[in-house]
Amino acid sequence: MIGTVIMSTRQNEHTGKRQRKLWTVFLWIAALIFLKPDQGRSYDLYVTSLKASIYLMPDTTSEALFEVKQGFKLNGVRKSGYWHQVDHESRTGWIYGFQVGEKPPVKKNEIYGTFSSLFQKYETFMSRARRRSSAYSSVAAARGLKEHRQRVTVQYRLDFEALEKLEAVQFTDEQVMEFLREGMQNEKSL
Amino acid sequence: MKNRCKYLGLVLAVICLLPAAPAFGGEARKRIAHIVDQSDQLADVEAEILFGRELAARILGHYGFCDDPKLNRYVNLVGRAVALHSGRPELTYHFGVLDSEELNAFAAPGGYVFITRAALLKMQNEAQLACVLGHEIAHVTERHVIRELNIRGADGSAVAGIAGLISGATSGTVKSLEQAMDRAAEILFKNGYKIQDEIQADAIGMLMAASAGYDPMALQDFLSREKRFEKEDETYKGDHPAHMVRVEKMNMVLAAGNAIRTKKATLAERFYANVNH
Repeated sequence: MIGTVIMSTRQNEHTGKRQRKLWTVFLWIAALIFLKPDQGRSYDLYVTSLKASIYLMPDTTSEALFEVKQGFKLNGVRKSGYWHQVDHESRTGWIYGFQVGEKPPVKKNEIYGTFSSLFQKYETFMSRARRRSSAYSSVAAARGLKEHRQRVTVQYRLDFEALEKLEAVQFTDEQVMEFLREGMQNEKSL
Repeated sequence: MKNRCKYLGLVLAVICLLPAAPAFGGEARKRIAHIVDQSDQLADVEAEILFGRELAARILGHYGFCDDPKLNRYVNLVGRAVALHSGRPELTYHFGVLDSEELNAFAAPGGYVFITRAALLKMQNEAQLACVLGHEIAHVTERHVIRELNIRGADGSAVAGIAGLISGATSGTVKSLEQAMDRAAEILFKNGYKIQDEIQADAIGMLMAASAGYDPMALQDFLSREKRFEKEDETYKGDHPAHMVRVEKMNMVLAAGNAIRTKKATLAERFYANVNH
């Protein structure tokens, strides 16, 4: 009888331990599912488009609360589809995802201001490619390996003359904005 | 029971602290990371432009450039008006008309966007042009071609992979780069983008055009029109997903209230004054 009581007590202890373990595992799983590390933590967002509106709802037909300019820092709260919920000075609203980035926007002059270094790299690359191509072709030709010569031939014709014409068409942002303004005004007056 | 409470308390404490853990990083570390990030970002964008420039030369070589200064000027102005609202202000966008009878438009990384003369002639207004160019700009901003190439850099990103190839000093990396460019050309000319990339480009292009003040519904109008021409026009290249699927997805975006539904500018008169039909 005493033996049976001891055994049942041990069994109860064992069951209790197992239950505690199960509870712990269950809570950890629940924590991993429901509490992602990002949740509840705001994140930095920078306006990357020229300007952007902050809407009351994730819907452009809803009220536009305020407008922000390129480079403006916002506090991201959460993402939903194409939209980010943001807050700024205790006002909360929604902004399109494609108008913001996690890093501050890089200015054009930071990239194109170093034109010489950019094209130097490009020229180095091209001369390397040309050198390789001609060396390879002559070796292949000497060996009579016509198929190899075909392989190094550029698969597509490259037209850099046309590309330079295309790149020569330059407009400032102000000229573009004026073009847009002019069009919109004419449309309204019709 | 006491033990159970202890366990519960411990687990709950850990759960509460989880979200706060990354905040212990420190401001200095954040600043250093930002400087390193920015220089990497600049190198990556440079590589992207160089890669795109090479690919653009292939597109021009393949289709031929429509050397009409007035037309190119107009397409550039419309394209740049939309690009001002894109999320990649560091890029200078270049727009060009291709001398082709094929209904198509292309985008190369780094901001090179092309539209065929035939596609322009099928359009009815400036808003349709703005939406189509917006769609192509979205392929640039979302780096669809580079992602499709599946080249991975040291940090696992596709752009870093391209940057690695360009800065490579061996003939092997130059050859790999050439091969990557030919593969990129094949994506544009033959294989096309993934359907989800096309749908994403539709949505972003439509929203960008709307942000510039154009009617976003114009993309749907043009695609429906293009659908009609698809049957008539044997030169149509099927490198975009089924038009109906795209139109349906656009309807879903509009219905969900994610796009401007109010009537906006179409600028048909200015379009016809610049594009000779």
